Amino acid sequence: MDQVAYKTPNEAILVSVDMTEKVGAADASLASLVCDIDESDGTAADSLDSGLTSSGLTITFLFSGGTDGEDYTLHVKGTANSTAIIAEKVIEIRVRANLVGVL
Amino acid sequence: MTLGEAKDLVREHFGRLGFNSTMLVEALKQGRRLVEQQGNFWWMRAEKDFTLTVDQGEYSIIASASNGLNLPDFKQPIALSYRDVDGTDWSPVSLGERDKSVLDLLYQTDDEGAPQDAVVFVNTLHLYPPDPDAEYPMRLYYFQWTDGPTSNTETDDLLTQFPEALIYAAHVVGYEQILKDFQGAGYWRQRFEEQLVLLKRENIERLQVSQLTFEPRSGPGHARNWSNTNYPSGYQR
Repeated sequence: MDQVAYKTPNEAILVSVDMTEKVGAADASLASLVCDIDESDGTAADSLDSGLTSSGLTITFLFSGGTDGEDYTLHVKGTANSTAIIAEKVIEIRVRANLVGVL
Repeated sequence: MTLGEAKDLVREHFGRLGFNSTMLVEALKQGRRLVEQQGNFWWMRAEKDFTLTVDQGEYSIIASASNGLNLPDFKQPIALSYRDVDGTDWSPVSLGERDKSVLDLLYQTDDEGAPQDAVVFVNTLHLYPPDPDAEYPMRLYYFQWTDGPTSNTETDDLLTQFPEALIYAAHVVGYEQILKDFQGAGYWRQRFEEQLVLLKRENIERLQVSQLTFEPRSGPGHARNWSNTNYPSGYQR
């Protein structure tokens, strides 16, 4: 998934975060999956994600809802099972009801 | 206009992925600082109630230690008032009319009484007489630096009525840092300065304290709480 995504408040989008470049080829799976979500003012909004799972080195979850006009910063983390490397990526999801056009 | 709408307007200019959100927030903050450095605007007004400690004539404005006022965003004082301990009427304290060097000469180091004069020296409020004889309630009116909203869904006076000032300032940052287009940055800086002119005009109309008033410094027309008889020896009426 790109580092920034747009969605409408009614959408539920599938977020996939590939940690291969962070973990490398020495490991094949992740554990201790975490997704911390913050609103633009730092308020936690962790209830907006669900179904956090991993397949190989890719973490997947569903992001639904959100307030129109709000920008959400997601810290997605996983720990490599063999090497114990902690991989984290920061992505941004912007919820807009009426914005049209390309990124 | 909300903070999020202002961000979206700036983003449309650089591509929605072209201006890193963290840097965009800093650019908008920089715009606010640039505006507030130009003067004291109506949204920067604030007031602080505090109580004097007996025999303590110095109070830190920015820190909380030693009964300080804890105003880290303090910019400039406007006025100071005090009440008798059980009183309901506020009386003015002469704030900033005389320099500390003059007040140190007018009062003795152990003069006691209700506050009559005050001065802000660096980041400390100095009261005269220097030894308050009671826990007088005080009210400080001042201008402060503001941070503005932090949530996308919030707004304030500056964002609501003059959002272009912040948006144009963010454009200047974006043109310089992202596009490396300094000529373009100059164009947006000029548009920002045009907004400053409009802001200052609005500020003059809103803030009565911006108007010049002439007040006699002595004699019958001078604002003093003459009901207070606890004057230090040698105090000149």
